[in-house]
Amino acid sequence: MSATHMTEASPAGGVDWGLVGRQIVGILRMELRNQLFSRRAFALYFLAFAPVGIMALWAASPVPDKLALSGPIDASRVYAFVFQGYLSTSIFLSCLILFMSLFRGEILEKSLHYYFLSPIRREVLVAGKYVAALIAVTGVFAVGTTTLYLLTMSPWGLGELGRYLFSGPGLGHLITYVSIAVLACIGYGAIFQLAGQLFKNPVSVAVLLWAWEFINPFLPSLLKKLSVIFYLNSLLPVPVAAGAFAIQADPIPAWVSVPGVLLLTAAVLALAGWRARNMEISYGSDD
Amino acid sequence: MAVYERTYSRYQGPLTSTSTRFLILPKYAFREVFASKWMLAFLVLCFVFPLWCCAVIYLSNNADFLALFPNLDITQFLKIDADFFFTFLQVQAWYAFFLSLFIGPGLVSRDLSNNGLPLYLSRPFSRVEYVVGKTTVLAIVLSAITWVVGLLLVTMQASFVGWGWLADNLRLVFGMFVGSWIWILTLSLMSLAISAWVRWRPVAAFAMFLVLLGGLFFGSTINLLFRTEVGDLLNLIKVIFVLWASLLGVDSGLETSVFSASVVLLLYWGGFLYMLNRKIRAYEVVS
Repeated sequence: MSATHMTEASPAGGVDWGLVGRQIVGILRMELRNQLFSRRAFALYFLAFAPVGIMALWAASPVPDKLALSGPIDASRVYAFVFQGYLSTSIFLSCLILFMSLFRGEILEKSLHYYFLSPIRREVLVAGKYVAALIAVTGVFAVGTTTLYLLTMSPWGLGELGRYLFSGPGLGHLITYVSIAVLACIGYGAIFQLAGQLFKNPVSVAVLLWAWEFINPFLPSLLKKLSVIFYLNSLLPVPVAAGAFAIQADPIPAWVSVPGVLLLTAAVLALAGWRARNMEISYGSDD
Repeated sequence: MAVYERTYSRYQGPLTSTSTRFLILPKYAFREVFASKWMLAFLVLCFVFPLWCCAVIYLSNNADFLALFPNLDITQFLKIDADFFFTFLQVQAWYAFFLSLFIGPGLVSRDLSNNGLPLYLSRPFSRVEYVVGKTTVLAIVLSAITWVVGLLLVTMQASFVGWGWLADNLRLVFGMFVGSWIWILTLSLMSLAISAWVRWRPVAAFAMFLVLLGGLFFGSTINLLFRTEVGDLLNLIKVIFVLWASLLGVDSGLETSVFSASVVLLLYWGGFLYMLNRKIRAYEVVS
């Protein structure tokens, strides 16, 4: 019996979940430091908080009067537009950079074999790395989405903001937007992690996926359903006009779209685990 | 020959002329670039739109084809003018970007990550020659899909309509040539500068993607929030389109002035050159 199996099998022969949990926590400790405090994290913070900076400038300047917005209800339409860009640019690119480099980055740094030599099941390693990156990216984007939302609604004073949040639809909308951001990180993260494991040069995959998500409004109804963005857009509390040449399709109800994205994620992660189990490292050809 | 008899002697073979020494780099780089079948396939794809333009020019000058539509002024739809060539350049600009995304990041990052620069620069080969040599790789490929095919299309139209048309549209020739070179230089400098700083090839490609997508998102957000067109200056593609429209004498549909677009482009170039100057050195201080 290999060392891996000896350490993970409980005396009864099943999986020792306590050990798996401790291993995941160990991976989380190392990976979270990498994800949040390395140079790579600069891109994450920039993408998450640069739009917040622009919105803060907007909120502080007298421009809202010029926009002829009557209050937070009107501003929610502006937010819906900004959030869509935030989703398809900031969140998409952050997931791309973070999740694709989970395995590819280790291969380029020639350090993946340290993980592979330790007595951890490969599936546990995949899960640990995924959860660490997910915690980092969802944490940052939950804060980013909330700050962006509050700043958009803030030019009319704290009293109006409080009324909109607690007596109007504001809080519900905010929770929905944060949930969409989290769901986007979950879905895109799994896809990009698998791409980082499967392809030596994941750029082509990233470009293709971006192009597919970009042209989604112009695709026929059936093809729209083969993308992540369609399910996320279906959840938007304030719909955004897709443009003159867009093909309209009925939004998918939340009870279908949320489990849909989660099921896709589970399937992709299972595939990533299987791929990791059969993975062999060849550092020489990866520079 | 005994080992002790192997003493130093100067190289006696023919020397490459100093003026053409930079061409050694493209000579070897092309072998690697075109070793990939995917790259070749994408390069072929880059010629699909020029081929379609070719067909349009042919049909717009074909009397038999025009006679098929006696009641319709088909020349309204198949008008070969500056707008036609502006559209041609706009489409090819995206192909050029994606091509540089695949080729550019690997040009410098490999040399840097494998500490190969001292091997180049310890020979009679300057830093400028190194950068020019690497730029030439991209310039040759990108030229083939931009101004070279563009000028072939202009020549084709002139051969159908008469050489007087060419004399009347000399601005078109000049605009297409200079405009293409502006884009080629921008892409080449951007990809070399980014790959010099971000040594991982895939991450460097993501960074290029980020410059373009980020500019698009941040620019449109600024435009929406502040009711201005200043945000367009962050969008590199729009900056280039403004310059092309001015060179070809067409309306770009954008409010950005040619002067501000030129200044922004020069700032971009200056930034890229500064980045290259900081990193392309024969030695490296590792802290």
